[in-house]
Amino acid sequence: MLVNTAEVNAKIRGEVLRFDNSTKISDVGLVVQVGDGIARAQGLNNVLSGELLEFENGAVGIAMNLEEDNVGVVLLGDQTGVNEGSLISRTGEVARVPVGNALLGRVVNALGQPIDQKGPISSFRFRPIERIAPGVLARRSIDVPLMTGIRAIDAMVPIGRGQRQLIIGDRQTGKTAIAVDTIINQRGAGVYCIYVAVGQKNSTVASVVNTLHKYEAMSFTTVVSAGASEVPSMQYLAPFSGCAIAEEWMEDGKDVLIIYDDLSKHAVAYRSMSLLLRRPPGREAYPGDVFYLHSRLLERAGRLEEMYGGGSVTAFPIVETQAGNMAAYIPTNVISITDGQIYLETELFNSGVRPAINPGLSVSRVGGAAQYKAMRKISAPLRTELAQYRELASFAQFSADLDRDTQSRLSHGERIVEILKQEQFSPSPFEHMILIFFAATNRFLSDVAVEDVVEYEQKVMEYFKNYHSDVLDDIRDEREITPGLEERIRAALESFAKQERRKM
Amino acid sequence: MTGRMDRYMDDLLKYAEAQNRLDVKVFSAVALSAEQQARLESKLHRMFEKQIDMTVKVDPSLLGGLRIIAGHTVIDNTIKNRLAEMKKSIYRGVFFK
Repeated sequence: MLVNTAEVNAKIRGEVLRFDNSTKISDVGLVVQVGDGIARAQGLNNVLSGELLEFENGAVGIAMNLEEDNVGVVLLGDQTGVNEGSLISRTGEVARVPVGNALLGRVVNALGQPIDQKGPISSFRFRPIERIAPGVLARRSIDVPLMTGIRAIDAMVPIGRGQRQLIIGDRQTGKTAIAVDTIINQRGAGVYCIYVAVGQKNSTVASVVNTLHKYEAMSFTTVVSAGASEVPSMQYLAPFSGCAIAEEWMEDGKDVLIIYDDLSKHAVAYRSMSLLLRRPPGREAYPGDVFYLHSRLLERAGRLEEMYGGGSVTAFPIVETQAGNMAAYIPTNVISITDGQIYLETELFNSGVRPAINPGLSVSRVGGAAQYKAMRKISAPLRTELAQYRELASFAQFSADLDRDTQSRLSHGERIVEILKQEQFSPSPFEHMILIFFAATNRFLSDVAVEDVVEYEQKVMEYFKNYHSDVLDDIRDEREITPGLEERIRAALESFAKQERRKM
Repeated sequence: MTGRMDRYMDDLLKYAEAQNRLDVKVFSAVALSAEQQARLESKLHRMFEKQIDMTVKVDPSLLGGLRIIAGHTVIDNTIKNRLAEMKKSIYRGVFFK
């Protein structure tokens, strides 16, 4: 990391000159009780809610509960060394994290301290981790797509830059895989990514970081991790820290993607913190403000008007359901806050449909306006055809002989399901998606056996790359299928089909 | 926080208040002479307008100066604290180790 020594010198000189050498008279508190990462203190008469407090031994806490005769302090980190009678002093500051480009490629904890053994983070810019979300006037409508590279999503649940899209599903249904694939697909797209891991196993976080390194996605990504072994207060702070890092880039005019993996564990961490602070429990023992906890976090995503910086923060919160129960407290909360959800199903996953996206329950409430014209045109019939197929498929199980029309719909549906399947870590470029969807909706796949669809796809791509790369270039550059371009695609696909028949 | 113990503590504090007494702990790097202690006590008496119950402890790790803990107020001009403050201001914004 390049550090400008002159700048560092000037900063230190400034601080030394400003240093106040007078005797300090300060308000302090005395710890009267400590346990479970919570300290109760008497004194601290003028303390502010959310203020950072420092203990005698250097431990840090946040004033969470201001009560009549004591202050509830949540410790950030280990409580050893904090005893009854320990002094607490005010810092006059709120929790802040370093922000800016120095964080790219780094793995940090909830306080922005590096945990990747790559040395200190050389950033002089800090932001408070809590902030009020941008107001109505500062926001702009969402009209630029964020390409995930996942065909099923880009076609059926399109996502725009600045959108909040929930990824929901049971455990082991590929929620994190979607998030990681989306990050990988931002390579070269100019979108900065932040992956916030809350309450995850450290081994899981390590494997995500390794994957991002492997696919050269770490250079534009920051990982904020508060693992399962960290105290609930750190897990509670992590998403807000990640969001503060994202906001800095957003106000700088950059597009940012932030993934909160996952908010159910975040809610659980907040619940244990709240219960230990003796705040009254509500439904499922969550405190009354658990909705506000997530709404104020997710409201900070969005797209800014040019005069306010002009960037965007796209948020992918992840929520884990238990046995597909979307009606539980946290899932319903987050569904109502976000602009849509991607619903992943265990059955689909197990039957080999991966990503296991349920097209019926997955929606995107704002992404449609942001879709590229080519994609909107070509994917419109896809959704309905797929829905028809699912309906027919459940009927067809009961009857042996089906009429021609039903048979063709069924076989068409099977092929659509097939082209929406996708390997992990292999995001599709835009022009590939358009091409394969075009081939499917225009019935070019009818002659291809279902099990050969993947092979057909590979061959078509190869063919286009070798003989019609101009068509691919035009799809990518124009993002619209003009009648002329449509004719060229059709002709190329026909000549490919002819070539294939000759081979046989 | 409720409970008998706390109420008892409250009562005790109220009693001390009513008696107009204040418990003061003084930490010094070097031993204070009796005259110095008397001067300090009278100063604190003027400052807090209370009867001062002062205990003095010697702590060489403070390097110099005094640290006075009076109720919920701390008066600190020790060299140790100033160095810590200096360190903190150089790493402005990074208050954690």
